[in-house]
Formats: sequence, structure tokens, C-alpha cells
Amino acid sequence: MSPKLSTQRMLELLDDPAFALAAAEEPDAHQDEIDQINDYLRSATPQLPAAAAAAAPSVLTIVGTRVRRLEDPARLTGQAIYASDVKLPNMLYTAILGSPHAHALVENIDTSAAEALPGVRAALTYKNAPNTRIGGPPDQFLMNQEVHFAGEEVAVVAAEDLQTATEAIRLIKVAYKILPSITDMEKAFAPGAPDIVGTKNGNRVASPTAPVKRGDFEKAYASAPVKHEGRYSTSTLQHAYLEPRAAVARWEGPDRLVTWVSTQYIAGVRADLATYFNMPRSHVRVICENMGGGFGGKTGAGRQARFAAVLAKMTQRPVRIYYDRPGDFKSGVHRYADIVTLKAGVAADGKLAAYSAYNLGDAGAYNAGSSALVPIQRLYHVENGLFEHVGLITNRGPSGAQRCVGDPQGTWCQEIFMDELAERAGLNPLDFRLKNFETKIFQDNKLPWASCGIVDCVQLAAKEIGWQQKWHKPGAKITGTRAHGIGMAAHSCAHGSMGVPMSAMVRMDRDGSLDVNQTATEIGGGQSTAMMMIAAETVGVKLSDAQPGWGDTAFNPDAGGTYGSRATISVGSPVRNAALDLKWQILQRATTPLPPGNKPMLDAKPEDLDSADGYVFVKADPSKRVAMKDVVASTGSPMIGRGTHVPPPGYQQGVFSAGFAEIEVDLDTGELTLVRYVLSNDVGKAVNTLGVEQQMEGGASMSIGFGLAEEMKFDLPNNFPVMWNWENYAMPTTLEHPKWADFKPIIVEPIDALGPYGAKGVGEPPCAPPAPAIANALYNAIGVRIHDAPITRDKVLAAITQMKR
Amino acid sequence: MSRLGRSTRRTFLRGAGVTAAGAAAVLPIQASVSPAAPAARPVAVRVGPPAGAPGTALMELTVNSTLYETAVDPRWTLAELLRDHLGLTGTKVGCDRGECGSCTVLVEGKPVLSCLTLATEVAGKKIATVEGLAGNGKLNPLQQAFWDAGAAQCGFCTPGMLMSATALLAATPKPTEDEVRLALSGNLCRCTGYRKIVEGVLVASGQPPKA
Repeated sequence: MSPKLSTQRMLELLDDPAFALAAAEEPDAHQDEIDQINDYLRSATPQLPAAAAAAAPSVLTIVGTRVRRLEDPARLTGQAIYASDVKLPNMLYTAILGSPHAHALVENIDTSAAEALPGVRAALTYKNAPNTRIGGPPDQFLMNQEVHFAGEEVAVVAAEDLQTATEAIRLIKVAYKILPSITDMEKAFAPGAPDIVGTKNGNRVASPTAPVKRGDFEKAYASAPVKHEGRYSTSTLQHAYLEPRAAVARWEGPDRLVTWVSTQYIAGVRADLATYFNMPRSHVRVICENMGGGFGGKTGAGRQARFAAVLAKMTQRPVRIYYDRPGDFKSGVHRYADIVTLKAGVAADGKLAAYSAYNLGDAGAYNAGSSALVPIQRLYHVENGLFEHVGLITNRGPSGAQRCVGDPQGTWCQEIFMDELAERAGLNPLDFRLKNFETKIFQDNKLPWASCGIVDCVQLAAKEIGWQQKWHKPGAKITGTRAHGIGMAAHSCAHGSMGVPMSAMVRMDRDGSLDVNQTATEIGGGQSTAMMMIAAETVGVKLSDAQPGWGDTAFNPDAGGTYGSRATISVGSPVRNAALDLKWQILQRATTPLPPGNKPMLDAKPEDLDSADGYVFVKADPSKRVAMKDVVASTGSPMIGRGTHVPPPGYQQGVFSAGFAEIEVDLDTGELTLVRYVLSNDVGKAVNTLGVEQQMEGGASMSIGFGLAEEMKFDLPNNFPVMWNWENYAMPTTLEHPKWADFKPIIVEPIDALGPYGAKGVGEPPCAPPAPAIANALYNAIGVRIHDAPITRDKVLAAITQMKR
Repeated sequence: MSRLGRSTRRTFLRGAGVTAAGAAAVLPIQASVSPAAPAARPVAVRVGPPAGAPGTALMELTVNSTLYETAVDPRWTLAELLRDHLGLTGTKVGCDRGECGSCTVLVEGKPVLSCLTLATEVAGKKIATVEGLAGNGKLNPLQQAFWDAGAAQCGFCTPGMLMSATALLAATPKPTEDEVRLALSGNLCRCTGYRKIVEGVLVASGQPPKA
């Protein structure tokens, strides 16, 4: 429990983009603060009048259908503009010099030869960069004299063209004093390890979660008839979005900045930059119409937006920064590695009696790691538990959120462990899980789930893949040199939670068309279309009459960012309320005689009206109707609906998913083929079934990479990353996925108590089960376990040598 | 420095030989493979640095039926020429080292990674980019199939996917799913898991996949 927050402190948190991000991505770790803030907001936020709330449509005709995405035509024709496409008149190009050492002090940096090169306009180093702190620990600035990972930027040059900037980088002379570095978190944690950033605490950093104790673990474990313990680990991963980090900045006067940034949260970048340059937020305009993927790696301004803005200020010219792929892989944030030791006891009836998890998490070079414990504390019912996380600073590069932050790591560990437990308890892995799911409440605060579809997820997917017919004893189905295996995994996390800030605006112009304004960027997940569907459904217009605000802080109110699977629920809710506010204004206007003495457009009470397809009509007699555009036009101005939202108390948000993998292993070559993958996800009410499928398939794909191939490796003892391009960082292609008919998403729709029209988030939970499902299928195929992701071919070959044949 | 102000092939060939070494290296390619100039010459769109700018060579190329005449820096890649100098930013650069396929364009009908192709290598050639697929603002059947299937998410890999698929369908109008996957295996996507992209290509070939 955190102490009671003062109102002042709550307002500070509500105004802090970093808190908004943390609250969306790690809601469990911030639950107490979120609860206090929501209690405060329920009294402080203007609520929608009850009559307006009651004007919501009772029959859905748009939400829940399958529609083509409105943002696609621009993307299919090459007309969509991304930050990396923006070219302004007189713009300068940049190149970046990164440190070749994992930990070093820049004793001197000489840029004179670079600056003397014709066409070079500025060189930014620690000597001339602003000394405003941007993160840590250790304290991080835009340019750091002490660098903490290989590839950390030590100089950025702006020049008339890219070739000149690149040439200038080669002329910079840097004197480094090499300092001790560690990329192995167990070594960072070992007694006597060098204190790499001066935490004076064995490289430990504050954990996002305090240790949790339920009941009496030791006693319950001691008396359990079935016991098991294991150690599991995951690797450091790249986000590998296709568009590298990019920003273009232009100063339009000493205190007005316009910037195009590839970001998931335009209002967060606006707040970051305004603070950084000590200017009003309204003087910073951030634009991101399209962005080439983020997956958690582009949540704030980062260094890229600051580099562009600082260099543009120094040169008084527009500046573009566009990382190359090696630069992006080295200095972009990574999914942190985790090591989790799990221990459990099972009672005679097959139920979990005691469960403990000890999690070492790699917080990276600038402490942005997180815990892997969320699914471990949520998915299974157990009365006696111990859950502890330890965060460690290393020199692996910056850690950060990656799709389902922390939870795929926890699910990898937990789901392999649960398979092992099931076997020791003498139960089928499916039956064991069904016996132990926590389907009612979140045990650590006793609140009921706002919705929970885990049982349907598991049963429907099991049926689809034919679990009962196909599951066999480990190593029992070998034909020639081919071993067949089937495995499953389940998952729960806190993503898709309600999170601040939540504000939106829905405007109807005099022609009846709708502008829907909010700041969660369209990052590829179909958020724009989903928001249009919610707004059009609620106001009662055709979907084709609605358009989004296209990622521009100039006219979109802060609705938070697109991360933590929050857009559908946390942006959809204020959008729905803004639409209701607008609709109620229209219904009132249609029934109000103006000016005094005239007849109203519809002779009825506003509560007796409804709207659809652009018309307001009398519910009892739909032939009595008037076009909404005429109602709005009669006022002479557009009508503006405003929306905020505060979730009602008494529920815990949870999302659930499951995955079933069928594989073949070639016993001669160690090649593992994913033959079939069935995934299921409880999404509440699916807003756009096409968009839901897209998120599910794409999420599963990332986890196929996580399970089978992807990992950052480091050159020891120098701790330099050796996987800094796609040539050796093996991201899955078309060839590593199952065939179209064998890669099947199943949508499960338990109506959610909190989300708009019962919807909840779907972006992240699909990307946890595949990797452990494949690991469990491998065990089913050859009877040998692999605990450490990814399951590369060398590990499979080593496992095959241990087979009992 | 040569005078490269006039826009005939003859002046290009003569002039290029005395500019930067990089441009000189392109001469044999130009001389041996470039198609004959069309009889009725369209008016070339003049772009890029001023003709005769230091270190540049003048060249022509056709992009999506438009003939361009441009002075190029011999260090430019084709991707850079298209994006930064012809303003055709539909072609994306995801790695600039030939690993991701986002920059795929067609050169004389064949899929080529424009980030690994020097601009001077395509002198006189016909280039097709994503901007040329839709006619009169109407999506072509492949684009329409991508839209219907939901093949684009963030959209950054999409232009490269479309160009690789265009080349496949031109050579193999009725590909099998395996052939589609092989043809697109050089195009990375992080959003979709490829399923709806494969579906889009199969639908465009008149063979919608069956569950």
C-alpha cells in the first residue's frame, strides 16, 4: 500500500506522461495510486448528465461488425506520411556517433575537424547539450559524458545532406576511459560485482512491485504431496518496428516548436518537450499521422525528438533525425530479460496449494525494467503464495516496455512450469489448468474481474486444434525422424485497464459529418477505425461520415497514448461520452423552439428521441424525423461534444488469452516446425472483428519470434551487442508461420463491465502464450524440457541427445 | 566541371564521363542496357540539384510512366533518390541495408531493393513504385484485396509487400500459398504475422484461402 496521496500529488501524477505510461503498462504495480486517483476524480471530473448517458443506443449496428479500416487507403497507395517521410524546405540531415564501449567515460571529444567540413552546421555532444535530466537512475541527460551501453549516442551532427553528416561523424575524435561493465544480471547481482552506476546497493534498483505474501507458503508447501521447483529465463528482445525512430523539428520563432515524431503518444511528447524547453505546452505542436510500429518502444519523446528539436534550435533550421537500423537496435529500448524461479506444491485433489516466484529482472542501463510477476499473481488460484521481484541495472542498453510489458516473460516461465506440475500431479496439462484458473477475482485485492473468458478461451481453442485426440505421452509419436508434439499455454495480464488521462471531443459540422479528436496515435492497431465506430454508433451517423483527428496535438485533447492495450477502453470511453454529450445537445436542440414562439423541429421530449444514420427520430414513430445536419446547421455553428471518463469502482480489469501449438521436430537436424497455432483471446465486445484478428495474429507472431529465435547476444567481455541488424537478429518471416488455414484466431467475447459497449483491450495479451505453448509442444514431442528462451536449433539438438529412445 | 545543362542522352553520356568517378563507373551499364529513347519524347520532369552541381551526374529515369531528368549525387541510393529528391515517399526505408524489403520497387518489372541500388544504376530504366499502382485514385485489385483482407496494419512494410506481390503475380498469376510465402519471405512485417498479407495476395489471384 502506498501512503495516502495529497491532492497536490495526485494532480502532479495526473499531469505526468511517465505516470500515464506506467499506469497503463503496469496497472497492478500502481493499483493503489490509481484507486486513490479515481476516487478523487469521481468527485472532481464533470460527469455526463444521467439523461445524456441514457441516450446511448440500445441496439448496436456498427460496433461489433467487420469493417475495412479507414486509415488503410493512404497506406496502400504510398500517400500516408510518416515522420521519416517529412522533408521541409532548408532541412538539415543528421548522423549519429555511438559509443563502442558498454560503459565508459568520455574524457574528451573533439569535433573540430567534423565542424570544419563544408556543409556541417552543428555537432551536438555532452559539451553543448542541455543539462536537463531526462531519466535514470543513473541520471540520464540528452548527452551523457559517462555512457552506460554500447551504442549510446556521444555525438549527433547536422549537415546539409546525409552524406556530409555521415562523413563528419568519421572525423570526430573521442577519448574514452573504459569502465567496468556487466550484461549478465546474475553477475550484476552477485556479491562483489562492480557497482556500475553507483547505486551502492549491489546494482539493485527500486522494484515497481513490493513483495506480495498470501497465507503461509512455507507451511502449505511443506505439507503438499506434489512438489516442484524450476528456473526459467527469457532473452533481451528488440521491438523491431519497421520504421526506425524518427523526428523532424522546426522552430517557428523563439518559443514555438512544430515537430513530426514517430510516437505512440503525441500529447506525452508535447508535455515532455514543453518541460524540456521550459515553454507552454500550447506552443509545442506534435504531429504523428502515421507511424511505422511502436510496440512500446516509442512511448515518449525519447532522445530522438529532443535531438531534432535541440539541433533545430542550435542551427535555426529544420532538422530531421532518422536512426539507421543498427543505431535503432543499439540505443532503442529493449524488452528486458527475466529469470524467474518458481516453486509450488499441489494438493491431493490436483489444486495448487502453495506457489512462489522469485524474479530477477534486467532493468537495463537506465532503469526502465519491470516485473514479470503479473500473470503469475493473476492466472491461478492459490491461497498461499510469495511473489518477489528484484530489478538490476546492467549495461545491456536501455530497457523498456515491449508489447505486454513484463508479462510474456512471466507467462513463459509460468506456463512451462505448470506443464511440469501437471505431469507430476498426474494430470493432463489442460485439465490441470482448468482445475486451477482464478476466474472470479484478483486475489491480491479481492475485486471481481470486470470480465473473464479464460475458460472459454482454453476450451474453444482446445476443441479447434483437437487437443483430446492429439495430445499424447511425451515422445510417444515419432514417425521416422519426425517427432510430433502439441502444447498449450494460458495467460492473464492487467493490460487494457482504464487509465488516465481520458478526454475526447466529438464535433459535428453543419453538414452532419463528425470529427473525433483524441491523442492516442494510430500505430497500426486500427485504433482510429475503432474510435470512429464507437463515435458513429453513439451519435447515430454513418461510419463513413466520421473522421479522426489524425495525430496532431493542435486540435486533439489529451486522451493518453496508444500503449498498454488501453486505446479501446481508455480512449473509447471518453469518445463514447463525448459522442453522448453531442447527441444529447442535438436531441435537446431538435426539441427546443427557438427563437421563442417558433415550433421545435420535432414536437417531443429529448428523451423520447433516438438517432441513426444521420437522423433524429421519435422512438414511438420513426417517421417523425429530422436530419442531424439540419439540427446542427440551425445553430449556425458546429456542435461540440466533450467527454471525460472515470471508471466506476468495484472491478479489476483483466484480459485473458490462450494458445495451442502443434509442432514437428526433425530429429536429425533439430529443425522445429510450427505446423499449427490456434489462439484465443477474451476481448470483451469486439468493436471491429477484423481489427481484433489483426491484433491477435500479429501478437502471436511476435511471440513465435520470442519463442524460437529472437535474442540479443553480447560479445564478452566487452559487452558489445552482436545482434544489431536483421541479418543476425532473427525475426520471423512468412516462412516461419503456420499456413493460413492452420493459424487461427478465436475471439471470445465476455461483455466487460467497464469498457465502452463491453469492449476491452486486445493489443497485448495474444503475444504471451505462443512461446511457452511451443516449448510445451517440444516437450510433448521429444520428452526433454527447454527452460530458457529462445528455443534455437542448437538447444533442440542438445535436447535430442538427451532423449530416451 | 562539365556543362550538363541540356537534357539529351548524348549530353548525359558525354558529360557524365568527366564528372565524379562514381558516375563514370555507371557509363558502361548505361551504354549497354538502357533502352532506346522513345520516338515521341515526353517532356521530362526536371528535379534534383542544379545541373552541373559539383559531384553530380545528369541522368534520366522513368518512374510510374513519368520521365524524370535529374542530376544525381553518385552516392545516392535509388531509395534516397525516390524519397528525398523525387518526393515519392511511398517507398520506405526500414534498414537501409537490404534486410527488411520495405524499399522494394520494380526495376524493369523485377523486384529490387532500392536501398541497395545506387541511383546511377537505374539510368534510363523504368521504375515502378507503390504510388503508381492505383489508377485515377482507384485501388488496383491487389491493393483492394489487401484492404479487404486487412493486410496493412502500421503500413510501413506495405509498399514493399505490394511491390513484391506485384512482381510475383506478373510472373505467376495463380501462385500457391507456398509460392506466395516464398516470394514475400524477403519482406519483413512486425505487425501482422503475415496471415492477412498472404490472404490478400491469394484473393488478388482469384484464389481466396479456405478455412
